[in-house]
Amino acid sequence: MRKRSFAVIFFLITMGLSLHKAEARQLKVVTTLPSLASITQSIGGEYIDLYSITRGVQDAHYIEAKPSYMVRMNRADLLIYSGLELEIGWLPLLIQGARNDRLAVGSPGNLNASLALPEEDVLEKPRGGVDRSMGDVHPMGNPHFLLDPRKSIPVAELIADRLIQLDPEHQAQFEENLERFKKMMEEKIAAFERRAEHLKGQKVVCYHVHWSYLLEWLGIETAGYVELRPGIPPTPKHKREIIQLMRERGVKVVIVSSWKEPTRAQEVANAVGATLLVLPGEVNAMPGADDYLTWIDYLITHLNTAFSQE
Amino acid sequence: MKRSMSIILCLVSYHLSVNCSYGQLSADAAATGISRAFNPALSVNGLFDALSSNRSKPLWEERGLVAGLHYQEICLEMSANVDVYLQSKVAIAAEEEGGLGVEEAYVSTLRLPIPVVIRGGKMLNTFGRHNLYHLHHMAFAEAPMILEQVFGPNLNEVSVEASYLAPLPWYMDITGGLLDGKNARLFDSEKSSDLAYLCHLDNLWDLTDEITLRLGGSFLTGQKGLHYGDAERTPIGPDTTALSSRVWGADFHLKWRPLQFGRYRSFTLQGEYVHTQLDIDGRLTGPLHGFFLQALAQIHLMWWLQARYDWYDRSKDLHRFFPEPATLSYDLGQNIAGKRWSFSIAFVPTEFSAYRLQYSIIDLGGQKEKQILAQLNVTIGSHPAHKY
Repeated sequence: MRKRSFAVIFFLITMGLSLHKAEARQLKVVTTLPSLASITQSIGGEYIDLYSITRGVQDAHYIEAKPSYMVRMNRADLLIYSGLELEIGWLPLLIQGARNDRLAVGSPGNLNASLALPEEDVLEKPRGGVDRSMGDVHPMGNPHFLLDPRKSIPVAELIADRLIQLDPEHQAQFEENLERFKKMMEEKIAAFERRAEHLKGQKVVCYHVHWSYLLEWLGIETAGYVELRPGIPPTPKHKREIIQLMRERGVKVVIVSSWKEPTRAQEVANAVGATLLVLPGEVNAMPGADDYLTWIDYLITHLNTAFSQE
Repeated sequence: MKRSMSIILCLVSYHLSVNCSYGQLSADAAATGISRAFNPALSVNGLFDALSSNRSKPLWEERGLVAGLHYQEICLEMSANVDVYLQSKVAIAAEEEGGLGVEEAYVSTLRLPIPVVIRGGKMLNTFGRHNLYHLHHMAFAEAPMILEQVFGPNLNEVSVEASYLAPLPWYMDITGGLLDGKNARLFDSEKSSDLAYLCHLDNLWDLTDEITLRLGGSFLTGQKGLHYGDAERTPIGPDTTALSSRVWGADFHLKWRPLQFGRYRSFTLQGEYVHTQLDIDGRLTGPLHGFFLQALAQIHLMWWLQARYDWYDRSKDLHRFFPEPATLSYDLGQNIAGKRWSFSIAFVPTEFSAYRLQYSIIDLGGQKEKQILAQLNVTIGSHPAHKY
């Protein structure tokens, strides 16, 4: 009986080790966000096998560390995550549970995408200290930097470098894909900026501190937030204050992410006759935002529509 | 078998001592000095209760859950990476009724060339799922009756556990553990060389993107001291020469959380069955067995409705080995059964504070009690995320 149990355990361990070797031929990449997955796919092309832990409809702040993700990560060669502590509530558990030395912090298979940005490009980095009375504040700054498509270029460069490091055999293809991606993005960004020219100086109220990179890029002013503090629903008093502010400043658009229940944002918008704009907070969060480029396109199109309806 | 265990223990101890030596060296020639950047993540959790019972002396008093206003537990947790190879977690808990104690203090491996995590130190052991929860993480104010009966209420031994992630399409974790065998109810052998052995099999399947099913099984065995479970450790008598405990467990966990609006709704159905017997001179005695089943429904961003049913039955042969944590007087010549219904409504404004109102109906061997409890659960500092 004991011999048989040892044989089964030995078989499983051997199978595990051989599986690791067999899978090494195609680079297995796990990303935390669909937007990172989309950019990585553009660079890695057919030479990578890609999986995104979160779906676009999910709020990446509140993901549970499901053991099934550990299985995916156990077999991965590269983990790409946003960083700036966006995934702090669940990714450390997954990394440890994955039991994959390649993805350990400090290993080549562990890539923090936010390192592509110069520190000064990170928005809303708290000054003067943080504490929990300020709500769910990101102590390292706003991690939703891919809402500004200009940031996708350094991120893509960082990803390409890491793919080349892990799979030098396909260096030429990765470099070619990177150049193609950069050229396409530069053209598209210029086109987006032309389309969004008239949005400059417009004012919005957001439900949550999420859209800062997009709004700053487009020159749209954030007049206020419906939430009392980040992650904390509004009190009746705060709702009255934000409605008053919208009236005084003539704000006609309220933006809410697709993963937030829109009831309170809708109430605020209704109170001043403003348009409630539900936008996909990530790639694949809504139909039509199927990859990184179409996501940004979707955001521009719907902002344009919202402001043309004023 | 014992020889292989000794080799494993030697290797682990060697690894730990090697790291300690490096620590000493680096303190002499400090590369990072007293930089505060390397301080551990620190958090303190407090559980404050107000309990009322329809009996002047509650039937079921455990872990500080006594009538009146009390703090049930104040728990200090620290966690940090030790170095490139290890991370560490320490949890020190103070209970109003039970004093100060080390609940956990262990290291776990950060990187091994095989898909294995090794934990070593004093830890909540991997028997089922519920035993891994700290008090503040439990859905109800107290552990299920059967765990209270068997482990009293936690199995947290000085031990070494190795968990292997099997190369299968679904999540299968195989854990083996070597425990020091000090649990007062199950082991507490007179011989310090008597260890206890644990194994656990954990499986999880994604039934859909929103529903997971977890099924597990556990087994624990070890030599037991030749005395009863009372405070005096009354000797059993010269007729008994060999005594060991055997505990089997089965656990399941079914969870639904929608992909969109997942922060606002969820539902969990969870249960465990535990079966304990003593092997007295080759004769299996008992059982002490029971289960709990709990349903946890998140109905709003901040509101939870929860219900639990607890049941256990103890053979009369085991009464003196597993004394009640309760103040119940019972007939030593009869089996005893206990059951409890618990209902709670919880208001959870953030991850760091929760208010719970819990109502329990308890029946122990035909004696009944009703309890109502209000609890405040607060956490300050950097508290690590809980496991799924």
